[in-house]
Amino acid sequence: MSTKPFRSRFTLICVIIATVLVLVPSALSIFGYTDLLRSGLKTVAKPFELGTSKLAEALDGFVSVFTEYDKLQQENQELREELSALEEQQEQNEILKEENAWLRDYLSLSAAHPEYLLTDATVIARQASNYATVLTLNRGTAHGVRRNMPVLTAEGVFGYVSEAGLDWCKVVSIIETASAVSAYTERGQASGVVEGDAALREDGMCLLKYVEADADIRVGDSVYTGGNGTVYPPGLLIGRITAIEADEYSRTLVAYIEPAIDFSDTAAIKRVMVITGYAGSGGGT
Amino acid sequence: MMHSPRKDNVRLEVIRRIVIYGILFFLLAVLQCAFFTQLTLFGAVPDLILGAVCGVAMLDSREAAMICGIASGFLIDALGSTGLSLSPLLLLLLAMVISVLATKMLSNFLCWLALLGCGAVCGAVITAIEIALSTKSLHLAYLLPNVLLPELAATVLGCALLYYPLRLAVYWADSKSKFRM
Repeated sequence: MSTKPFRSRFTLICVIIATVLVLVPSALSIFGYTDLLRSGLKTVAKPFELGTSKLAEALDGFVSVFTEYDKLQQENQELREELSALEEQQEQNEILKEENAWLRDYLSLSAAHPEYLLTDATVIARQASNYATVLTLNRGTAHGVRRNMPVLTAEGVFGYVSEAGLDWCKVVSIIETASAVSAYTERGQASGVVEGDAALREDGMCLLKYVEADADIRVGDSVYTGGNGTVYPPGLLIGRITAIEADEYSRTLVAYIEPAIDFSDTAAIKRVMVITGYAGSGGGT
Repeated sequence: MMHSPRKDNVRLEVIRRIVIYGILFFLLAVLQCAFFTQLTLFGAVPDLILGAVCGVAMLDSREAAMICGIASGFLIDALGSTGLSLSPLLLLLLAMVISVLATKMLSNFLCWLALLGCGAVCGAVITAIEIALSTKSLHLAYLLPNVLLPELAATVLGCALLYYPLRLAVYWADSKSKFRM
């Protein structure tokens, strides 16, 4: 080894080579050219760099499990709380959506019949049978609800109040055998009485009876309350005629009615309206 | 004319060193540019090439370290930088300095750490100079805790265990007979 390491010929040659290796590629790079040697080295190293990079990514993911555990745990907790709040908000939104839909129905019915005094009520209980057509509502005498007041929804007539307590009432539907409603058809103005039938009750249907034999009625005719009784005002939709036949015991016609309200799914009925006042109301059906 | 056996041995030794050191420095350069750029230590990339040059200077010879410095400097610039790149010259100077210091030390792990520390300090100074030249200013109060110290710590920690692979590489290169020009 040279005794003067920084003055040997070898050192001089190395410095010259290093200077050339600095100046030439730098100059080429600055002027936008790429020297072949650098380019070749980069090409050779590329697959190694790719593999190493993948390895680093995998290791980073593994290490971050331990290094960021606390942070992830906290973030998890925050996200759970946020999710819980959002779920609660979603539930509130669903409730508001239902209430909004209900209020629209209420508004449309009020607009269609401004002469009625409507009180909205929520169904709190149902008759425990296959077709729960007797409902218990959360309104009673304290809210102006009395016996024999009509109950309806935006679709049509549901029934009437059969019993009323201080803050509850029971409602019997029109398909119950105890129900009888004077009615008429809109098209042919044929009149009759809508009654419940034990056999048809299970199907959610009822009958329009005592229609004159020469009355102009057809399948598909809409049937409305006649207003001849003391419970239902005139003009409330009951349902639609699905079949007509002659009564075997009298010279009248009997029509099968599919009510506007789906009595096969009364569980879907959550809110109804009670007509607590209108022109011509009184007692009895 | 008869071939000199000694010249043939030297030639073989040179070729062996070129292959072994070439593979070693190539792998270290790839690791430095592709692996440690993603998994940084203390927020900085450890200068594995600097550590390897220090190791060759301590375990092999000044001449081997200088050649490795020039070649690895060129390699690291080819893989990792663009524009003006001074790494071949800077690593050559570093190899010369470290090799002088290595002559005063033993070839054990503690001395290796000490040399590595010196090398890392030199690297940090070079980095500070490069930043000063490029930004035309030197905010030491910012650079020291955010750039220089992390780089120094990352280099020392990242290169500490290079001692053993370097010893193995030097052993394979059969540097018991010193390299002579």
